Amino acid sequence: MKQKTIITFVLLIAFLFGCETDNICIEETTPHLIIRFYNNEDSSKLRKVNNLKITVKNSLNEDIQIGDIATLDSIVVPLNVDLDYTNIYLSKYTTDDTGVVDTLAINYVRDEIFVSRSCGYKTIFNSIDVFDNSADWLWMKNVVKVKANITNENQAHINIYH
Amino acid sequence: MNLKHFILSVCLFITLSISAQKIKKDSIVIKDVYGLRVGIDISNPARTFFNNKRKSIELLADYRISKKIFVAIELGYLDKNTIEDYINFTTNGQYFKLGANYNLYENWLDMENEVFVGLRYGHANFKQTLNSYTVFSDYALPTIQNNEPITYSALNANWAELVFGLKVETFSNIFLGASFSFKKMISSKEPDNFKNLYIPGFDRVYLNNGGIGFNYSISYRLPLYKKRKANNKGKNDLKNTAE
Repeated sequence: MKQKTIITFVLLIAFLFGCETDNICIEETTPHLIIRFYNNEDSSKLRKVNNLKITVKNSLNEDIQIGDIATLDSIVVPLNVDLDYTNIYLSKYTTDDTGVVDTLAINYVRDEIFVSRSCGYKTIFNSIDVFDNSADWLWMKNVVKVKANITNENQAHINIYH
Repeated sequence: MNLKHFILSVCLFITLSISAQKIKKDSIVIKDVYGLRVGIDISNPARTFFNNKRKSIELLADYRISKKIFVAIELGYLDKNTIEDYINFTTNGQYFKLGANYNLYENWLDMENEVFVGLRYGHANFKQTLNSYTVFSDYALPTIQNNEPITYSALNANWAELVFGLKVETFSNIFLGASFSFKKMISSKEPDNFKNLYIPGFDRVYLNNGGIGFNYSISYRLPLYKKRKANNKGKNDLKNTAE
């Protein structure tokens, strides 16, 4: 009888203390850059970019395409965590398969922040600086930095008007 | 705690239970032995054998203060390397646990076995060395690895432990013990931009600041004095007797 009571007690305690494991990374790690596209004539309205191809230059000087060519009004782009800058190439394709490429050059200050056992560290990007070379842009008209730092993916960080 | 540990625990538990069945010869005057019991944890060397990245030692002692209550202390040292997907760190330090066990087991005659519940306060002083970490960005881009070790020293932790266990006298004054514990962190000094994921004495720190532990020990009792154990006419009378 006493044994049963003890076993029940042990199980109850085990249930109460219950160890929550953290073997799988489910927390938000390094945030991506979120860009939204707006209409240059009416800056309150989103405007899709037709047949947009996104390419990022990595630290090995390779051009990496992010996702497929698509018509979108907002995009999510990874940033280099091993460089203090990322060059993003936004190519707008017309029907005859010729792209018009505009470059978005972003500088930032990296900060590594501990997340959890399974996720390790994430990088956040502070004091972001968007290089304004609007003179060379072919389809983009204006770029506005909405956030000073990229710490999460809750909101857009950059608006592009076209 | 993985399956291997669990099976080991069950095997030892059964062995101990069987050996607890032995019955000693009857005696005219039955006395409880009071004394200082000192021992060593034998699960730590076993764990080192299976995982050479974990080196630890634990000494334990208890002192019987009444028929059912034993004041208990454990002292230990740990050096453990933990490798996770994106981090690699080493925990190094020492700890003590202080508390008491309450024996729930009604012994026959002069048997000295215990099935106990116990409480402990645990305290550890340690350092964590973050050996390396990898920052993950996106599948499309390279990760960054930092191999420069960072040491966070002068860390500490305080916790409470609920212990369930048994101790069996196998030979005269030689005891084998097995216990299982649930731990809850009370407070800890955390490193900047890192976390105490493993703590000497507490072991793995789970998400809700809880922990579990198991322990096998072998100890020797230094018999100091004996106290007459209530009525000694026979086992049937024992149950009716209030101490």
